[in-house]
Amino acid sequence: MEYLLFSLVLLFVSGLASLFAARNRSLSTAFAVSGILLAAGFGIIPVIRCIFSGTADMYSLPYPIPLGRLMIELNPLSAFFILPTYILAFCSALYSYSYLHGFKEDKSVGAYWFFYQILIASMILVFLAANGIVFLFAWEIMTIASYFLISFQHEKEQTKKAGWIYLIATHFGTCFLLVFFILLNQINPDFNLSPLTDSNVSKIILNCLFIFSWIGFGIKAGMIPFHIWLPEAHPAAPSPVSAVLSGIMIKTGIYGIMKTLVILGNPPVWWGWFLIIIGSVSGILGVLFALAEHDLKKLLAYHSVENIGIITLGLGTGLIGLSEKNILIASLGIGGSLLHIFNHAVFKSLLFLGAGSVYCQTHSLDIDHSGGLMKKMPVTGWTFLIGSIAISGLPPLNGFVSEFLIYLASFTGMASLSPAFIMIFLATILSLALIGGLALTCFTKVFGIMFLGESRTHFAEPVKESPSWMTSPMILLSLFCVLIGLFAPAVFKTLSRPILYITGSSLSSISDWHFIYESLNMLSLSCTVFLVVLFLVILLRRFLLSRQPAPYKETWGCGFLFPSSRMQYTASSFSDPLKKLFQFILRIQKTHAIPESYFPKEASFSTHYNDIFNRFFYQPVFSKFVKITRVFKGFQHGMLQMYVLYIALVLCLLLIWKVK
Amino acid sequence: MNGILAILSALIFAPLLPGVINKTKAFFSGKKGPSIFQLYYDILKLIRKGAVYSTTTTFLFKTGPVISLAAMIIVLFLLPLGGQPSILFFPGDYVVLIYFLGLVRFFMILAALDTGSSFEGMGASREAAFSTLCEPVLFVSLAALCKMTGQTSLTGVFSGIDSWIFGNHIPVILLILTAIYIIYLAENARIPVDDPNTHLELTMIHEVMILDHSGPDLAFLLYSGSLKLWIFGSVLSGILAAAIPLSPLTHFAFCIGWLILIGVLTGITESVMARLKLIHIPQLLIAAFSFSVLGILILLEEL
Repeated sequence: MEYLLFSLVLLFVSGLASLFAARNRSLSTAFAVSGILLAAGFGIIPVIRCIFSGTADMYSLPYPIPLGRLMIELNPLSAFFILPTYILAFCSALYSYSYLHGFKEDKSVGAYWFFYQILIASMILVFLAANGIVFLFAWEIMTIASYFLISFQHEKEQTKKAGWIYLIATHFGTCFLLVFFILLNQINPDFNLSPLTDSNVSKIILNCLFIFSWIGFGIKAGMIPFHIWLPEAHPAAPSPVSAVLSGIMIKTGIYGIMKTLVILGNPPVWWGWFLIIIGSVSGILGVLFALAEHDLKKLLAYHSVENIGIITLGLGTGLIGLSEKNILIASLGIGGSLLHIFNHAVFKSLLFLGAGSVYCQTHSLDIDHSGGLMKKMPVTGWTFLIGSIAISGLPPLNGFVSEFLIYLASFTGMASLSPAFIMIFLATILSLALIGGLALTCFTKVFGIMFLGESRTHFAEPVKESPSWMTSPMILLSLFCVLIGLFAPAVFKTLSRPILYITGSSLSSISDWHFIYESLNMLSLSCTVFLVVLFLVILLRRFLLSRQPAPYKETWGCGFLFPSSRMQYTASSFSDPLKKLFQFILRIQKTHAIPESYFPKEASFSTHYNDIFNRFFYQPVFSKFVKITRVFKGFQHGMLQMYVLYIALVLCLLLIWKVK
Repeated sequence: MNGILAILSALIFAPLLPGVINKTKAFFSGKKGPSIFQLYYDILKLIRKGAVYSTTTTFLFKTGPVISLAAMIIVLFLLPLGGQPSILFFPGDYVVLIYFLGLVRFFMILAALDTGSSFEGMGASREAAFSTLCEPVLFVSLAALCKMTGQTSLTGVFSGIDSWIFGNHIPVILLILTAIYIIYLAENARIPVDDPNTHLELTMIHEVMILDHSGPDLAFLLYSGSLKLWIFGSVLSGILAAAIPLSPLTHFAFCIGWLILIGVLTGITESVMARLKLIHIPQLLIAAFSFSVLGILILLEEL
């Protein structure tokens, strides 16, 4: 634990140092990056020890703070969340070094690094907090630090707006969290975050707590219908920040829900149903919205919504297993959910870093503008490809392993639990299948349109590969994708302590463990056999072609002699069949000018997508809200005398009230 | 040992299936038709030729056929045939099987987009859309079979359907067979979803995606296409062959017989039907989906 505290202090001090050294860009960066490297080095030791040994480490600071004590605890669950935090913090910091070069000289790098370090430190503190007040304190610091990072380019109007939306949304969530912690304090004194000991708490309070935690933490996690801040904030933030936000920060919401479940214990079965429904709605709508999106970072943001949906689905199946006292299903579901948290942190940040790398070269995030980048940016292309396969949940990479665990949980539940649960498990399986297919379409769209084919626009500067400061973190992250995919059983072994922490009881029989390990072992065996067969097929192809010429010619244009790169399929045309099919949900707006008369001059067609939750719920509600609050504008007119009068009036009222 | 036999027979006899289909179609249109071994000749011809590549393409264009063939072979490892367990069987193996087919789709779409041709882009776009609708049907059908037998692996499911279960759940099994048969037609680019013969780009899905492939690459694609027919056919025949209790060897022969019969049935379907309009294909796939869900609902009633 001392190591972790030291690591937090290191982060804070190095952040301050780079703030003071802001004049000298490289010195400032050097302070920050070395600070993170050292902090990660120190911090990761107790974290890994805790994940493997499973012993919780409590630390209580001697001086009291108001409302309880300053308590932090390193348990397997928090250790499991802190591990990717350190990895991503380090990768994004390395990446930022080069990325920040793209900004003009007058941009203060010091402020960026200061808030970056504070954000990392506060996230770790959120995971460590064992007391409600410490938790809220760290939670707020995290929100504010991330707000400043999102509005790093505050000179842009769009960024300023995005920052505000984020700040309002997340504070709306904090409101609910305040109520949640106060309510929790009624049944768990001193704002303790330890599991409830009193077993006869009224059901209504428990259900209220669950709902409040779902709203409060769900906003941070970006579950539908609370997701609207994600597609605003991610495109606005610098890419390495988006990577950290999407990789870790939204997971603090999931951590909160998991922690709540640990505190409340013994979930009723409807919590599982509820989470599965929320998860499938988030998953399916998230990926559908992503399909309609042309802006790369907005698209990735919607995919975060989708993946949070998958994580929630896993958690939901796990809860059903828990409430039915079937530890096998619980372990599979929660294990899949946890592994997906780690996996999503890895591949989503990889994709965001890739997006940033493309942006640095082409200065555009519109998918339809680029094309043929694979040849010009091979490293970015390769790593982005690996990230795309992983996020589509395809074997043999990591995204598949976690989805496989959730599938297995649902199929096992279907085969062994009572028929009453068939429909809910079927819903899980169906949502996963649909999400998988849609995500595959979406990422073949992104990769195929951006990296393959010919360039669709002429860029002012020649596009070249990003510097190795940017590419090496991406290579590191894609290695994680491959290794987790191939060594699934070993990875699941490291998950066993965090799973145990949530389920509260270990797998009762050896046959259950055997069941999981057998299928994971065989899974990685099939992936290995696949790679071997693939290698043999490649050799065969080499051999067959070695005796024959393989010349390079132009793509067959069906006899047309003057093809241009603008004739290629675009992202919007690629996803059109599915968009048409789901138009009843998406409600994409189309504007077009049809060519008229015999010699038509101009024609145009454009599609515009506005999030339906924004269009039909948030925008009307907030504009109503603004209209209503306009009444109060009269009270605030800037006349000092009137303000003094207000104060006098209030004082008088108070006096009268007290005298009475 | 039996598993290896099943894989070998798939690898050797799979190219017969398109031959069977074409022979049936020729019979219906009163023609002699190409030889039943035509695909073998085509493949042999193609692997002796060189290939032409587009200057637009990257290595991804070449990975399409290679990954396609490798993934089909690994699927054969996971697939039980003729009542024998597959070589790799474990809880949830069908998830792996379906997702390996997804991997093939991923790389085939990328290979198509890699050429930069809008024909291939169009095919890729349709393939992506329709396959997205096929995948859930397979999962629902498998879920119904899992519930019926209480097993969680494909081998377990196929050996779990004995004549008793088959007899008790005939409506459910019929619904599921119909659903899987529609997916079999859609995934293998057959009429009424896609036409393997037409070379009109505007109506094609699968054929147009592989326009630019040539030589050994095309041979790999044709071969893995026939393996895919074999794989989907085996799922159908695995369920059908469970109806009568048989000794292992006859069971195996029975399965192969069903595979060929399904091929004939496909030929008949192609002869008596026209290709559907593109906008009606989702309706067909949603109908398949409804069949499988209806199957599960009936199963729920029966339990």
